[in-house]
Amino acid sequence: MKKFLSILTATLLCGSAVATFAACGGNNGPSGVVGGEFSDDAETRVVRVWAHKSEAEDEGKVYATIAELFNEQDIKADDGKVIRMRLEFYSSAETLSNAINSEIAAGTGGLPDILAVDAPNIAAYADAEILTDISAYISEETLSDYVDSVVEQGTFNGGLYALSAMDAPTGLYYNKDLLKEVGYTEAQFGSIENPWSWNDVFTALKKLKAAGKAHQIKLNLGFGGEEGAIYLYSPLVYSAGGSFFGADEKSTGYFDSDATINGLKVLEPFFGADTDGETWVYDGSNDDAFAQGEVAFEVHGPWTISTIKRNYSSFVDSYDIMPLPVYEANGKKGTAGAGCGSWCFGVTPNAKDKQAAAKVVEYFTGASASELLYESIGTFPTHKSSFASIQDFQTGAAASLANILTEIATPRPVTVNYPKISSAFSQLLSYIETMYGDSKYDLKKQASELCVNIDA
Amino acid sequence: MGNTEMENQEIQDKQLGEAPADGPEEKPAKVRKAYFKLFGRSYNIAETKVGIAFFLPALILGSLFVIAPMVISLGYAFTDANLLKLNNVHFVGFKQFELLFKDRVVWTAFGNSLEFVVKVVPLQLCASLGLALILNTKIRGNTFFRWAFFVPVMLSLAVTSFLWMNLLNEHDGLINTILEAIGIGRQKFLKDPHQALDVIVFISAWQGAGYQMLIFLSALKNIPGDIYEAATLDGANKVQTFWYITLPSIKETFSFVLVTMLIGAFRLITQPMIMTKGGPINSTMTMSYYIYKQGLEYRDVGFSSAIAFFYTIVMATVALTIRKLLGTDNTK
Repeated sequence: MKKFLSILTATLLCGSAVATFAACGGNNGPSGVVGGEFSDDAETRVVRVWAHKSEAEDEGKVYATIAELFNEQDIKADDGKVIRMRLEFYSSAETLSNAINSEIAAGTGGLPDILAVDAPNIAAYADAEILTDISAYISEETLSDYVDSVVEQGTFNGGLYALSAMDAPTGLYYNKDLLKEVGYTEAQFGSIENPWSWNDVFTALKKLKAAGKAHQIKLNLGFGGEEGAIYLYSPLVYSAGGSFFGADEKSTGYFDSDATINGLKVLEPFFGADTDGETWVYDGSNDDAFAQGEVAFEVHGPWTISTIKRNYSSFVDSYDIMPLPVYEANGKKGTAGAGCGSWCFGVTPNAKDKQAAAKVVEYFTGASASELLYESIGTFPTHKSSFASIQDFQTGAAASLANILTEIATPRPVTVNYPKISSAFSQLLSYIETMYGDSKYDLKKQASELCVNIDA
Repeated sequence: MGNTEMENQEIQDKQLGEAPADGPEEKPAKVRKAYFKLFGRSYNIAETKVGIAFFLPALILGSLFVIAPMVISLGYAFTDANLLKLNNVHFVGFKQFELLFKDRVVWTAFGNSLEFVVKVVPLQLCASLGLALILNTKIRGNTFFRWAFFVPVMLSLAVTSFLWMNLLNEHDGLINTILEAIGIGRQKFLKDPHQALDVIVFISAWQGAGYQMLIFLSALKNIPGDIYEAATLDGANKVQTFWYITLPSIKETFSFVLVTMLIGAFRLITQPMIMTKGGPINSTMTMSYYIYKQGLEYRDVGFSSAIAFFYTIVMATVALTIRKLLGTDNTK
């Protein structure tokens, strides 16, 4: 009996090891599925989509609704088959990334027809042939309704690899009431045609300080980890005529060029001490510092609009958004720009019917889907027609930011080497933040050192 | 060797070499099948089977999650493997190792990791042993203190990291508010390249000491009380008692705690990842975090594997050397 129990225990332990192995082999599968009842047959073409959200999250719920709406439409592929969307949820960006990586490593062709991909990853995915060019399947007319930045971010080496249903333009939030109290008028605030420079912002802060008002700017340098830096501040580089890399995809000579460095140096005065020994940059932990009047300016994406609308309704008419300030030298201002970009959907080479898959992408990122996402989670639509039809975008801060998106938004660098550039850019901004004023401070030298690692 | 094993050895020696003369002719032959010889020793087949069955799960899991990844990683270290192109890998010889020696961030990270180890291990060791010694005495509220010291261990590193980030905030963190109130002035802490790593050392020691404290405490409880009584009668003071009785008695435990603490310290990743992202200007970048960044963020699996292989050798060398130095290597 004792021997039997020993063997039984050992067998159970072996079994658990094998079960662990089975569980770890390949990816763990989706956390939820919409359209799981459909399968390919003579009349049906099933298009599998992998999304980066859980079905329990608001964004996931919208995706589920869009999938259900699509399946009710009975849209047909060119061969006459009815297209059915099977939407599979992979709870987070990391989970989706792991699932994609394990399929690539396995090499068994397990990728779905359509993948969710974050905008900065499109180039790398296209280069690795995880996504395929869909420009042949999307009409010019359809494409013309997307805002330019969405098409630009989805384009790599002349091909269109992904489209998006949501965007997140950035701008400079400013407290109109505070600025008016120190003498500014509506006509003096920055606009797309006549943007403020960073010198203008600094002057305004000094006036506010002198008047004893809130006089700091919230730069959100830690927003979104390292990625937030390039998302919010890549326009600084373009404004001064700089760039992140050259035609050979190398950064040396571009990332550390005088133009790029000058573009970033505009932030330096803000990290210097004011008359009380404080910096001009807000470094507290209050997420709603702008809405609560604790700071006069904030550089951020569209989320602050919905926060103010939801929680600080009395503040709605007290603020507006202008384009990110520009570089200025010798009285001449650089070009205005804005950060943007969000998650997109692209077709994989694994798609059995690429035209059918492209139709799903078109629907999934179309105007209706885009508006559903705006209503549910507050991200900006990606269609010009949506901005024209939705009342929220006709006046106020939302209208200002919508104009910024449609007129001057610039995608983050489209390059295979993006992760290294993004990380290096974040480190460079962190260098300004922590080392400005130190005797060893040398921004250009720091940029050159970072280039060695980017180009390695 | 236990009694049962000795008995088995005697029996099998008899059965293999000198079958009992008074037994039936067939019986020794039948029994002989129950044993096999390997490298000059005899083993009971049935017991070996059970042994292998018990050993198999560890072998399978160890092979899958330790040996196989190490072998695969070593293989990748000689290739240009990219995370998105793992089906298209090319052999590049020692190129990744050449890059490793040229990459300044690798050496910064290596220096930071060593500095972290050198600072956190003594601090955490002293803290955990000190706490264990306090709790080993009969003080009031012993159970409460044991629980209180262990609480940080139960919290996730992510949670405590966010907690400390708020406490250390330069503008409105509690610690800076107190420092300002007592006239020391606000500190940048995690945003200061000269302070950030030390802050992480302190937080890591605070969080980890409770676990080692429990291990030390159980070792201290196992030291027979009569040894201390004899020492007291011989006139030994507290320091002598600690140095000549307590420490030698917990030598094995001390070695275990030291080596596991050392390996854990070498592997530091969570706190810098959450609290500083390796900054400011790489002052908290550790080797583990850099390996992660290269492999998963920059997708350079080849280079990441080369760094990982190099670092594994360093860690193994240090751990084995310490075991040798402490004389607790039980491989003899």
